[in-house]
Amino acid sequence: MKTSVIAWKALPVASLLAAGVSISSAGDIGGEITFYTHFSQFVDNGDWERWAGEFEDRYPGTDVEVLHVGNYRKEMPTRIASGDYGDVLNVLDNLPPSDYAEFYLPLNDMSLADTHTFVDRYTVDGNIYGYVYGANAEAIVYNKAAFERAGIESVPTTRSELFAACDRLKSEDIVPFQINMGAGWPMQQWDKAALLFADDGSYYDKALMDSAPYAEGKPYGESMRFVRELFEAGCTERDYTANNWDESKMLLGAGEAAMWFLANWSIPQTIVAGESLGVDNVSEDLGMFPLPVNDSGNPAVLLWPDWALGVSAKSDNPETAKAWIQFLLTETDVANASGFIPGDPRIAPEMPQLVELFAGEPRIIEASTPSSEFKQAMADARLDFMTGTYIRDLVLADDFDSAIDDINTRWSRALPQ
Amino acid sequence: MLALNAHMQRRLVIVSFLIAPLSLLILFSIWPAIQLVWFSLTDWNGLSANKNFVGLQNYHTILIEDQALLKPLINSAYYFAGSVLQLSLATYFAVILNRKMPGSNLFRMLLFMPFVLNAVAVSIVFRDFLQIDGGLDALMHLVGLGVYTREWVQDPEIVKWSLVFASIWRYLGFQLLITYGALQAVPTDQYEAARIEGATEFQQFLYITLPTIAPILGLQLILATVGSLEVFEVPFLITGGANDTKTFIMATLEEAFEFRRVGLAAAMAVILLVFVMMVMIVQRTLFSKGERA
Repeated sequence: MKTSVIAWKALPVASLLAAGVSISSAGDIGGEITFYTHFSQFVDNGDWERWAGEFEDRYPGTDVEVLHVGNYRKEMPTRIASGDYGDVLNVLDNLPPSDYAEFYLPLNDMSLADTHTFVDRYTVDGNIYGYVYGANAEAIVYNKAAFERAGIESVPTTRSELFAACDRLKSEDIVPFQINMGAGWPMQQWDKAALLFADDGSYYDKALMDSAPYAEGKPYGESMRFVRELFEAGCTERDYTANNWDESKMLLGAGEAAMWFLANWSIPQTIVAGESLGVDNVSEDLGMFPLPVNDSGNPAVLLWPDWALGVSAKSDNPETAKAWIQFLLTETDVANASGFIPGDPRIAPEMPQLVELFAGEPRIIEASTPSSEFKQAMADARLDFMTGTYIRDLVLADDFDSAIDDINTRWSRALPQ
Repeated sequence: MLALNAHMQRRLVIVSFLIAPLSLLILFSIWPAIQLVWFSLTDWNGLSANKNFVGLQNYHTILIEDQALLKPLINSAYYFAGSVLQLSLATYFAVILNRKMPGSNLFRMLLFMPFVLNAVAVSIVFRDFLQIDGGLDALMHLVGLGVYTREWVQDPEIVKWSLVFASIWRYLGFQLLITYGALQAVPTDQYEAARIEGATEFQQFLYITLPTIAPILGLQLILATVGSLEVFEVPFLITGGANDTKTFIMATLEEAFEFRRVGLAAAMAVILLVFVMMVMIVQRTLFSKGERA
């Protein structure tokens, strides 16, 4: 696991071609499967149709029906509760891992078990329930042209440099650091950043041992303080209530905003948004650097797995479903097309910004699975982990310290005794 | 063909006409309500096949252990204050429109139109209208009031009133229409008699109009109270609950679908239901006393 990112650098791309051959017994593969996906862009550009077609040619007698679901985290639970949720679907990250066995089939017999990254994250009691599309590098995406205009010559490597850069950008009327609080979900980034402040990918489970993880000096508390400080210093966008997600992509693409702390997946969308304003070569303007959480000068990149694909426990055609996952993750360019570091280490990431980010050989922290107990404690403390509402309320709180105290109290009450 | 006597025919007609509405009512209203009460007695997470019966534990949690859950109900007070203002405005406009002034049909339509619009669309329009540098700010700059612009949906002191304003705009037309309908029923000869006796416009309103439409106003007050307890779309879409604008319904939904405690959320919904029923009973008793007097 620790070596996975290094591995793709070493392996020749050619080995990817060999990957497809190793699919197990093609005998019982056939029939119809339904696939629920959150990727709308591949519906629009016809990629799903193309990939499903290629799969059906490979395994005659199969039929893949691809259905797009808009708000995946919210809509799929309803479908799951109804018992009708197709054959292949994402492993919902808002489910406690201990519930995976109720809704998903174990996928231990797939050859991906030996080759794929982040397998541990979806392993519960020795059973693997999902394989990731890919991983994301959580870091700052910045607009080089905006940095140039503000006269910032090198990317900040310490926290003080970052705040100094914000000031210079502000004086050039560039929005320094968009946090997209109005859109809501981008605030989940500060749940993730806690791992960077802890300098430890398995921090969430350690927080379970702490009755006040939001206190000053503790990783979670420092992460909240960091975003609050950005907000109070006026580094973030002025309008924070409305969902301006689409607008924020345009601003970053066009260089009217300079930074955000979102992973590489946001880059392709920013390029499209920037170019829709008539800006040329947006891709060349965009770069990434690790979020400097302190003044040590040696910031790390957080690797965070994206959605994993699993097979429904109610599937009528589990073999076909597994073959589809195998095909999708090893033989199509779905991961690179969505801007991920592919989950299959034999496929190299293609995005220039990622190549550039890793060329500097930054320290890498791999996020491990938040356990069922951690997720349960968060829910019991009424903290919407990875959704961002409670972080928004903290940033906007009249009295930050008492809001933090309140959260710590709720947390300590929610801790398993 | 069966020979049916008149009595049987009558029954057959009644039963067959009732089947459709009753089955719809049972299927979509009564059965879900029974299920809601059942869920509120379990610890169901909304997904799992198992629901464990926990008795009144959920109610105990909400009413005694964790009263923070009830806090969003305070926000209903703002909407209630708004709805009183809304009711007086609606009555005012209805009285004016009832006087057959030129163009009254046009004004009636203009005031009623917001209610016909989809609530979600209205909220999105208001979100853009009230945003920083949005429609309202642009308008104020245009008429020279630029210095008075505020952060309408961000400033914690204003945001609740901005939301109440959006709500008033949307529901004013509905109340106007009901009040207007009631005004049509006031006999004109009473006004004529009052005018002959030298009553002023205000006296006419106070002694003729108001008593006639009082029952309707009472009904509207009940509707407004219930409505202010159940506010959802406007704050959900405009602020998403930022700056303490979360309402009880939003909190219920969050509990059910964010924290996966459908049992607890069902109990919150039942509590709201009981609350609404209590309000109605209280207002009904007060109001029927007024009628007898």
